[in-house]
Amino acid sequence: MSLAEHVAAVAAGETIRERAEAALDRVGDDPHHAFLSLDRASILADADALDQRVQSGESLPLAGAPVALKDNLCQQGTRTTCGSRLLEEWVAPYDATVVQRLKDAGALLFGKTNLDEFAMGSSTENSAFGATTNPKDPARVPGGSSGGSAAAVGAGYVPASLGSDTGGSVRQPAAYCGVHALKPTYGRVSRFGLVAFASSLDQVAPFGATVADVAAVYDVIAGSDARDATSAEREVPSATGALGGGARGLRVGMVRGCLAQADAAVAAAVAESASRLEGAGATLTDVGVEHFDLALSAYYLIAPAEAASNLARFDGARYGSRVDGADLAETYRATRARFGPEVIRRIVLGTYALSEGYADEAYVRASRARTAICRAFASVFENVDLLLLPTAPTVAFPLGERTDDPVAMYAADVFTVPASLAGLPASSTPVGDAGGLPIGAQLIGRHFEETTLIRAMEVLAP
Amino acid sequence: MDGAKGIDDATFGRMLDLAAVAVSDEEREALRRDLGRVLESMAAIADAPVDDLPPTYGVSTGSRTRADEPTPGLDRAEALAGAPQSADDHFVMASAMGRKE
Repeated sequence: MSLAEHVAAVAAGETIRERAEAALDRVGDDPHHAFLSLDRASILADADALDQRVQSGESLPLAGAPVALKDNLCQQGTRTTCGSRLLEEWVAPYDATVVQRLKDAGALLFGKTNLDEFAMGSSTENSAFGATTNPKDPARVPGGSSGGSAAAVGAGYVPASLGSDTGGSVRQPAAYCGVHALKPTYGRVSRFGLVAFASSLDQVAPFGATVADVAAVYDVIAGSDARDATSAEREVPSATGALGGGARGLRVGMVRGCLAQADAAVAAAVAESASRLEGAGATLTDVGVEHFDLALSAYYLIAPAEAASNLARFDGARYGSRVDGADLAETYRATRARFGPEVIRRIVLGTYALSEGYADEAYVRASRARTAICRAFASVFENVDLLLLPTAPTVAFPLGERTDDPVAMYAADVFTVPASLAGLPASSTPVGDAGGLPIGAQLIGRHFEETTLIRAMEVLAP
Repeated sequence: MDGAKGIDDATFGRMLDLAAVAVSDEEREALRRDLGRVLESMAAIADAPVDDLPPTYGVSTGSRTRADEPTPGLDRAEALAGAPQSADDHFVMASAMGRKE
């Protein structure tokens, strides 16, 4: 079910309430555990209000289409747990900017989706409230950390959803669940109201059943925001306007080294998708991105360091739950023991990376490597307009396979973290499958050239 | 980085203190082992040819300032609404000096 189908149905006379009831029926008892919160009465009340807006003559760009939100996005008056016991009952006192923009555009906000705790993970198994399963195979992960949002679209519950992508947390689950996604350029979409994980990397990003769905949601949420000092003050060319633009004249660099690292079926599907770009008039060349192999190590020093700083606010004083101790320090420690093991692992790793005696060789050195990676991309983009590579090295892996091996889990992000470190826009598009398990191809573009990505995404899909 | 040889217990204990997280003895050992393995996997950073490069702490999106004027935020009641404990329009928290007997 796509946004276009929804808009056509409403234009043909179905009410938004009827469409909402149908979506709730599709969810049923949510067998994939995509949602952490789904207030049916509230959704139907909102649908009625949207119908009234339509009847009063208001034009709603999203026409009451249901859009699910990752549960690290603040939605006023609703539980926003970040997948954590620490925030299990916390109710957001304000809307994130992206949530307000969706409301203004007439979206029907449709529940809060499951995630790895505080967006730290690649499988959604780190959620304190149970894992989400993959709609294509419930014995496998949906990817992470935005697994619930990916699964909600992949299972056909909603045509679009929002996730957050720090090192691949939208692109990788999109690949595993067989849906489209676009991580915007860093600064393109406001982070106000997104609970911070790594502030120099986080971006809110849309999932969609089709490229057009991704474009429609992106057009609503993108743009400068005075409440986010890292938000770029730039015009946003319409992604919807770029649909149908084709790939003619685009210079695409295939990152062959990544194909060699991926599973054979993944490599084959991505290579075949390249031929569709060529058939549409793009030119393909093989490229390498220098220092690409440093990105995973750099990311897993930088992101935990930023997370250690950002999560220092969860001390039991101002929000969330508290475990009382004999004094302030003991209260901090006992409260923060409620974080899950992966969050604790990253906080301690980040603390190490920033602490005296280690920071120069850890965080600072990783930040120098980040410079090397940024410059390498800039060099490559002198000769190509887009890069093509797999989104992930494998298809969705079985539940439980990597939960005891953080190094193996982190390896799922090897192809997505480089674009994150450089702040570049990047997408994932389903391009095939292996035994029914979806395979995603990733495109990386120059800063603020999301429309080029949209054009190529449409061509990539079989 | 120390990780290449594992994290010694004293360093690890100091990191736990700085992180302000309580863990059980069993969790402590598993965490120390995991962190050692993670840091070992990042050994490539130590040998990377990056000594002459300035660090990038964030990709620039342009300089942005606003007028030095107050802007609306949460009122006191809204700010206190999510607190585990509040009284007299203040957050209530454990004493830094410990409980009075």
